[in-house]
This record gives sequence, C-alpha cells and structure tokens, in this order.
Amino acid sequence: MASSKRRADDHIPEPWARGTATLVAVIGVFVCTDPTALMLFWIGLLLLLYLVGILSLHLHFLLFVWVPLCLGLLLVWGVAIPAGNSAGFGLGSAEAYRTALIALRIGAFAALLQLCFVPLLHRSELVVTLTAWGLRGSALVLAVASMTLIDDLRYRVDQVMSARIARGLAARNTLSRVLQLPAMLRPLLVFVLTSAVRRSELWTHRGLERRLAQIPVENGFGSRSVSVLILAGAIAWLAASLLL
Amino acid sequence: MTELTKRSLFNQQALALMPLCIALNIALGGVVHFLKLPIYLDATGTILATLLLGLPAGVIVGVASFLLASLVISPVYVFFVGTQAAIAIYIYLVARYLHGLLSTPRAIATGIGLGVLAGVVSAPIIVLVFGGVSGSGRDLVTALIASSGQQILNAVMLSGAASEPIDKTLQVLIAFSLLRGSPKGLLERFRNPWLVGNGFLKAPG
Amino acid sequence: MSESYAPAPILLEGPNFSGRTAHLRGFVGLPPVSGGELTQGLSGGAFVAQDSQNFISGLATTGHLELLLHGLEQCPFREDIERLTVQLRLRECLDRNPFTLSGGEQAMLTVLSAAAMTPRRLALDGVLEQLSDASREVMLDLIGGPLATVCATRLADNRLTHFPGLLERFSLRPPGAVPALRPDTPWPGRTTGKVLTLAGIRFAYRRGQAVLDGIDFRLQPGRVYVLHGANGAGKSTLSKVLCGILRPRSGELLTATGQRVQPWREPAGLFAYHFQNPDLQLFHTRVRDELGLVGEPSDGGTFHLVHGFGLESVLDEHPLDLPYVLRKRVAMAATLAMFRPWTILDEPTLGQDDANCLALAAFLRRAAKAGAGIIVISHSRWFSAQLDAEHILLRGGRLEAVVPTEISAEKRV
Repeated sequence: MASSKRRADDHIPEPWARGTATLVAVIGVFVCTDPTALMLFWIGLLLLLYLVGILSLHLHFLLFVWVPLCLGLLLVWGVAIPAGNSAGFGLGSAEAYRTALIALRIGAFAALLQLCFVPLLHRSELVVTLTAWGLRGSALVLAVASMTLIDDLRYRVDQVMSARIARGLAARNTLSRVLQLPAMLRPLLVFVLTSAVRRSELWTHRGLERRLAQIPVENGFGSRSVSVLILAGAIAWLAASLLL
Repeated sequence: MTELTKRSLFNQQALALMPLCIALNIALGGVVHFLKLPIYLDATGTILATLLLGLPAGVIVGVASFLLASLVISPVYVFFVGTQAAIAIYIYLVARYLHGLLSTPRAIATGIGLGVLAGVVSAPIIVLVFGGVSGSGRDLVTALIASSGQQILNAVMLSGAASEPIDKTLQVLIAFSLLRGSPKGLLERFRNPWLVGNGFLKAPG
Repeated sequence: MSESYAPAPILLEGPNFSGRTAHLRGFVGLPPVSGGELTQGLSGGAFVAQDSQNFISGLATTGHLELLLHGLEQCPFREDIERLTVQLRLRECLDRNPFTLSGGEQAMLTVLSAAAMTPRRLALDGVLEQLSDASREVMLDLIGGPLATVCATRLADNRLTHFPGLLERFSLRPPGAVPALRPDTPWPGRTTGKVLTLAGIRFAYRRGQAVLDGIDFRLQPGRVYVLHGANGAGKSTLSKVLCGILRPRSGELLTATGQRVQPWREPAGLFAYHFQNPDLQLFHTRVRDELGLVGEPSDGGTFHLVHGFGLESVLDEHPLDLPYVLRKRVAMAATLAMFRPWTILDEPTLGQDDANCLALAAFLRRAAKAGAGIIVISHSRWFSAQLDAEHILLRGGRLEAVVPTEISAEKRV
C-alpha cells in the first residue's frame, strides 16, 4: 500500500498549488478575448482530462449542457437579436464574436473546474487538501461529509424507487408521478432526519471530529515538481490571455 | 454542554443534518431523471434545511450543494450559488414572519413569489456569463421577448419570471407536504419557532 | 476496575421489547434512545446497531480511511483486523466509498471500525444478524479473542443463540404484553401461486459482466423456496428481474400453459418483493394506509395479516415512528397484503426474536401449503430449517436445487 501511495504522490500537485493554479487559470479564461487562444487552451485541457481519466464526465457535460447552451445562444443572438445590437449574423459580426467567446469560456471553465477538483472527490487526499486550504472543525466535517454522503443518498434514491415499484405503487403517467413525488420522497426525508440524529450521536460519542483532524498523513503531500509545473502553466496562460 | 457545541455555530445535530441535505439536493436530480419529470428539484433540500435549521444553515446548504453539484453534475451550477442563498433568505423570512407555509394556498403563494425572486436574481448572471441563455426550453421565451425589441436583461428576467414560478411552486409544495407527512416524534428533535408557526409542530402546552 | 480486567463477552438474551437495546446503549454511556443529551467520549465506548449505514462516519471517502479515522494505526491488534479484512474478503471493499457497499459488508466494516477504536466497552445490537454464518464466526473470533483482552463486549443478537459456547449470557424479560406474531394465523389470500418456468434468463448491469447467466428453473407453489447464495451472487438482482424492476437481457418466463409473461411490462404484477431494509418501503403516514386497509378492519384478508403480524395496536401510528422490529413487520405485511401469486421476502427475520421467527415460519409454511408462492432469502440456517423448504442456490449466475448441507459447504469456501 505504501508504494502505491508514493506513486500517487508523484503525479498530483500539492494542495496550495492546486488551488492557486486553478484560480490563476480561471482568471485567465475570463480575461481572454481571443477565441482561438481559448480554443487551444480548452483542447489542452481535454488532453489532460483524458490523461486523468475523466474525459467522459466532460463529454457528458458537452452533450447535455454545452450543446443546448450553444443552441440557445444561436437562437437568442442569431435569430431573435435583442434590442441595442446590430442586425445580421454573419462571421465577423459582433454577435458571432461575442457568442463564440461565451461558449468557449464556459467550455474551458468547465474543463478547468473538472480537471482540478473532480479527481479529489473520491481520493484519500481529500481531507489533507481541504485542511491545507484552511478548513478546520465544523467546516471540514461539513465539506468531507457532504462529498462522502452523496453516494449514500444516490443509493437511497435508487432503492426507494425500486422499493416503490416492488410494492406495486409505481405510477404510469407523468401527472400522477408528479403527484406521487411527496409520498416517494417521504422515506428519503425520514432517512435524512434519522441519519442526522444517529450520526450526530456517533460523531460526539466517538469524538470523530477530533479524530478527523488527526488522520495520519505525511507533511508535504503531493509532488513539488508537479506543483511548480502546473503553476507555471497557469501563469503562462494568464499572461498569454492578457497579451492576446 | 460540550466545548464542541459552544465554539461552533451549529449543534452537532444540525452539523450532521446539513451534509445530508446537501447530498439530498444533489441526489434528487436522480429522481427527476429516473421519473422523466419535466421539473427540477434543485432547491428542495435548501428549502427543507432552511425550515428545519434556520437561515445560516439554509444558506450554507444552498451554496455548498451548488458548489458540489458543479463538480459532480455540471460546472455551470457554480454560477448560481447566489440564487440559492437568495432562496434560503426568502424562505426563512416568509416562513418566520409571514407563516408562508401554514396552508396549501399560502404555500402556493410562497412558491410563486420564490419563482419570481429566483428568476430576477439569476438574470444578471445568465446575461453576463451565459449571454442570456440557459440551454433549456426557456430560451425560446427569451428569444421571443428579445425579438420584440426588449433589452436582453429584461428578456431574461421576464422569461425567468414566467417559467420559474411553476417549478418553484412545485418544490415548495413538495417540501410542505414532506414536512406535513413526517413522523412528529422525529420532527420534534428539530423544533424551532417557524416550524411551530407554520403548523408543522404543535405549540407547547 | 484494574487495567488488566477483561471480562468475557456477554450475550443479552430476551424477546423483542425486553429492553436489550436500552441496556446496551446504557452500557456504553449513551441515553436509552438516540437524540438525548450526551457528553463527548464519556465512556470510551462504541455502539453499533443493525441499521449499520448509520454507523458509518460519513467522514471517510474509503473503507480504509474509515478504519484509519477510527484509529487503526494506534490499535494494539491492528494486524488481527487487517488479517480479518482478507479473511472476510473485504480487501477491495476498503478502496470504495463505504456507502456503496452491500448491507453485509457495511455491517462488517462498522464492527471492525468500532474495534479499531480500541474502546473500553463495545455494544453490538443485532449487527451480526445480517452476516453469513461463516463471516459471523470470524467476527466472533475477533470479539472473543484479541478484542476481549482490552475491551468488554456485550451483544444482543436474535440468531446468535444458535451458536455453541463462547459467550456468557444475560436474560432480559419484557415488562408486559408486547405485540407478537401469532403462530396460528391462516393464509388469508384467495390468489394462489402459479407454476412458472424461467428459461435462459440473463442479466448484466454492464456488458460482459453477467450477474444472471442463464437461469433455467421451474417454480412450483406448495412449499416455501429458500434462495441461497453468497454476497453478490445476484439474489437481489434475480428478485428484481422477477418483480419487473429490471428487464432481463434475454430469456423468458413461461406459465404452465406455455404462455409468456413479461414482468417488466407490469411491475409487481406477478411477484411482490419485500426489501431487506423496511425503511425504504414504507411510504404512507399511517400503518392502516400502508396496508391498504379501508375503514375499520373487517374479516377481510388483510385483517388476518394485521392480526397475524400483531399490528392491531399500531394501525394509526406513523409506520416510520415504530421500532425496527415493527417496521420490518409492517413492510412485510404490506407486501404480503398485495396478494400476488408470488411473494419474495428478503431477510424476513431481521430484528425478530425466536418466538416471532417460529410463528413466521409456521405462517409461511401454511401459506405455501394453501397455494401461495413464497420465496425467502435468509442467511439464518436455523430459520431456513423451520420452513420445510425447497432450497435453491444461486451460484455463478445459475440457479439450482440443492440440499442444505451443500449450502453450508458452499459458504465455507
């Protein structure tokens, strides 16, 4: 186990670098006014997303969020054209430039956010990273517990749905499904309240809040060279977007 | 009591409930997807947390669930954390001072108000970051209003005020019905003045 | 009390409602019911109950971190715990989010976490009930072995009475009359089970990883069926396919006359399915509505179930306000009250004491004799033996009839 940990260390940045680099790069995305540069930056991020193994998450975003947004942009700025804007929607016009910039910014921003934070969610360095970012006590408990409990709630949602079908209570048409929502969500709310009562007792009884801050980790978690590399990349990107 | 509860803003029970509400906010998206329903349930957990735990907890749950949703669902959620905070503030004020969840008609009125508020609050972000679009059927309405010669911000506000109330009213009604149908013994552990004021719990004595 | 004092583990015996849970909670310094006042780390004790998901901290993203959070590094019998994770086949589970584990795996993880804390006092309330016999023996070896040198353990467990030796016992009695299952209840249903042939049923959650790999079997009412299979063998997947929650990738269900049935077109039409966790299956605000009782109970079929399951006194209560033992019974009765040709009951004995289990077994035997189709999933060899059942085993994605001795051999592998 120790060896696999060491290998992981070699590939991930230190917490401070992860936060700073993301911030710098996000500023770069929003000050950049050159669509081509944004496009190239985004493509670079896609490559990194692929290497980290979460490209499919980003493609899902592209298909279900980004493409509809682009269609909406075409509709509003290409067809409807709000007041105070020049008519005509051709290449080179102000609207085309503006919509392209918006679409690329959203895409690049999404890729950046996913690349920097999603790999943290299900990894052991989550607590270390959050601690390094200054989260302590209740705030740390809240952050870690929220991320961990999503899987629990998703599982419950799935189970409650199946359990309802198994009891023969599933509704057929959309209206009755909407009307049944409260009844279906009731076990979930009760589960949530019961869990809160039980878990608060568990945390206090076992002193888990104190223990959370004491989880053993070595100092300087993450690789210094990777940290320097990504920070340099982010600063270079910000400089480029300011100059272009 | 323990030094633990003294030095933090929330007692342990509230602290344990908040992450569950955050996770619920995110997992409810799965319900909608599973049932193929034409609504969102993205504020239900925030509404419930505000009613159960009060204003600071409601705001934290709303903001944190959208931060987290931006990682696990879609990064665009991060731009709407302000709307979530506004929802928590509105629900707290309406529930506490106007007893806006005392009856079904009141809950409907509260929901419509919430929808208008959400539409107005999110409009500047939608215009600034997304060029006025939301990537849903609502863009048709925006385009229609814009083509009649309106400024884009007005068009987004109007389309928001037209579409959000339906969705938000349903969410308020769902939260209302959930709290009404919960076991009283369990709800009793989260007793506060506005749960009593809105009839979810009986006044003592 | 000297430091070296290490009393033997004690088993609390007693029927439902005899106060075992309150005793156990008091033993580790908790108030009798959860939610009362409590001071941090008062007793250096740990408590784990049967709803094991509530005893996962929620502060660790993996099972391994859950153990570290509980102080595994400082634990004097760390190596024993690590050896057990291999023996219990928990190794891969430790890399996953604890909430994605199965009920049995969660139960094992919560007990191991509590042990890793090295508490002075440990109380286990029914949490071992959902483990297979082999896994439970491994856990008991830990409790009676390394753990017993530093920690006083007390357990309440309805099924543990059937293990030989090892533990000292306390007996508790309930204060008065309690709602109990009635052994003489007749099966009130008018519908009878149908002969069904499963032909080549296949199912996979992911392509290439078949969970059900060609189920060929003929189900015939008249005797209770007990469905066996290791954790993850696909027992609940098969149940979901039969119930119509999942649609099989291929294969078909045929009636005695050779007619094809497609459960996914009408879910729960042919098979009603009672889940292991009752809390997920209770949707109404009164027990009465949950059971579908209209007006006052008359001598209809459901009334017999209300009487037989000892639920008369709670008809107007909120189902989710009841204690676990009754929630389990309400959910079971509500599923049976659908009176479908077949009913699948997943771990029906959870939380029920011996007398209630025997009454339930008698009821199910009678129901099957009267023609109802009953399939039981149970880890309890003792309960299965009371059912006079046909034993069927799910192994390698296939279903076969077996004799009980083969099953215990299978579980020891």
